[in-house]
Amino acid sequence: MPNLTWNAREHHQTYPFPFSEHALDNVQFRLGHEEDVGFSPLEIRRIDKVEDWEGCSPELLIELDEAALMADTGVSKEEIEFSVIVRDRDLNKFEKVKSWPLVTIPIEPISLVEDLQSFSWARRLDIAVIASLASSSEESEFRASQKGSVLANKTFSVRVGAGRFAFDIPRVLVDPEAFVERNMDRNTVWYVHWKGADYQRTPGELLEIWYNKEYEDKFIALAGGADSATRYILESMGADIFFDILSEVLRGTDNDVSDPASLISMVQNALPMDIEDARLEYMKQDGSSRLRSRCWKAAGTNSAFASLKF
Amino acid sequence: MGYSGISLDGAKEIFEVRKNGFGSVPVDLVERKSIPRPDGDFDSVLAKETLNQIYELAADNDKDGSTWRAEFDCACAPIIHRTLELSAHVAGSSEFWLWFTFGNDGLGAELVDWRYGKTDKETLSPIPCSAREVYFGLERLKKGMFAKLWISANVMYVEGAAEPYDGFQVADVDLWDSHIIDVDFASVPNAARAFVKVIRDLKIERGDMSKPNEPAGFRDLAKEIRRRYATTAFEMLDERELYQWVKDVWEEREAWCGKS
Repeated sequence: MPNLTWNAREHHQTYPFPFSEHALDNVQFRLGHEEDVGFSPLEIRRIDKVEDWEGCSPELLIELDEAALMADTGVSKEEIEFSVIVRDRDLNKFEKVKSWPLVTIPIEPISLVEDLQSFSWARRLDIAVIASLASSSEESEFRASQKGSVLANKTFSVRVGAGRFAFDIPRVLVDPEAFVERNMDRNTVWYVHWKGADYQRTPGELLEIWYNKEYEDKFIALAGGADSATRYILESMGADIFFDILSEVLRGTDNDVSDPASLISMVQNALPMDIEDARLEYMKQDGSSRLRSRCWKAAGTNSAFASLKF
Repeated sequence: MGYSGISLDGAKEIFEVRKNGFGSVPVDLVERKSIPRPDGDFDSVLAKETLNQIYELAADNDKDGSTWRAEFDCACAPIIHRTLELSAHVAGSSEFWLWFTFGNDGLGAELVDWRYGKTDKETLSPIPCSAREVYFGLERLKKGMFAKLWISANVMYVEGAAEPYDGFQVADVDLWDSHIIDVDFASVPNAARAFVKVIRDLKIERGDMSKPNEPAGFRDLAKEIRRRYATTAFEMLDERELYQWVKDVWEEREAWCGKS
């Protein structure tokens, strides 16, 4: 694998003590009983506007693999504390909102509605579920010994679009050869694949984001990361789609846009109604190149990034 | 009650008009760009009151020496936090901060120019919009002057304490901007307070990480704490525990950075 320098926060980090990779795999973040929508740890839940977020009934369902946790970490059940931490990354407000000794974790879904009232519903909110050492221990050989040491964790990232475009687009892991077949470098990291040109269709029908399989671990960091490189790359992906079809909108499509879920309708709605021609021109010409340069600056210019397809 | 906001596009337009108009903005433009927000409450009288207090603070600041900016920030942050009385919902709204900056007769924007902009050598007045856009809140929320100061104060604030903003004696722009606002660990209030108070109590200098032969400073300490936060959830520890922990890390500095 090429030597890829990555600035995004890694989720698979090296711990100086035994850590359980999978004990929290089955913890779910959901939006209420009825919908029963579980999110994978890698998935970013996009919500278009604050009102959407308010309408949610977020809850956690904690299904813990206790045996794996103890076997992996060498820590006994009585020493483990289980906590829910909310990290409001816009307001720099990270707080523990719930906590239990491992032996008393509720089995029923835990509502987070009240807990989230004291946060900003900001654009970037992480809900972290953490198993940690409840108190410092003398025993330090081959196991965590300090209070707060993270024994297992799982983070759900909620990103509020704040009026930005937030498309639900399938993400597909592909072999490097798929890029080569399209005359791209095999080290290409990601690519927006257009399956058609009918903007009246929904984003999910029209587009796929292809990720290079060789960089799978990097996408995990990408999906969960919150630093500048991650943000710029995600924004650049959006820009790639957005500016491509923006030109269609600017061309003055007279098509009857009846389906609000269509891609073109979404783009039109994303534009301010009273936007002036000059501003649109600025957005078209400057917006994507500015994002691109910021992304390059943040992410570096090694061979893989040099072939990013914007 | 709701609160007022200005969208990013609206604020950028006001910014350009203000820049081209040498500081003046038609009142009706600001009114047209102000939008009511229903998702939180804020008494707009408090905005004027806060800005007036900051204006007085700025007027008393003679801009002498190299530390006036840091001293101003440390005095200003508690004023903003205490007087505005913001809920988290309103504080997290970039539209609110843009309204605070560009609304209210443009007093906020003048203060941004005063703090971050250039000064006209003849009139000695701040040059309108000579400060970078980021300080007006036109980029990330927490990089805007007022939101940044509010966040700094919010993380240090202890409700009901005799000195609710204890720690702001450490006047250093680098400390607050780069090692409180920009790092994850300092978003945990107990960790931020412990970090600042250890620096204050042990009189730790800034230091220079690129110079291995110079003594360690709080820049080295911040880097080490960031590293350890990756595997230790500071949210689990109280301020007393974290104070001792930060102090211990500092005392062991030779082991992790090789400096005295």
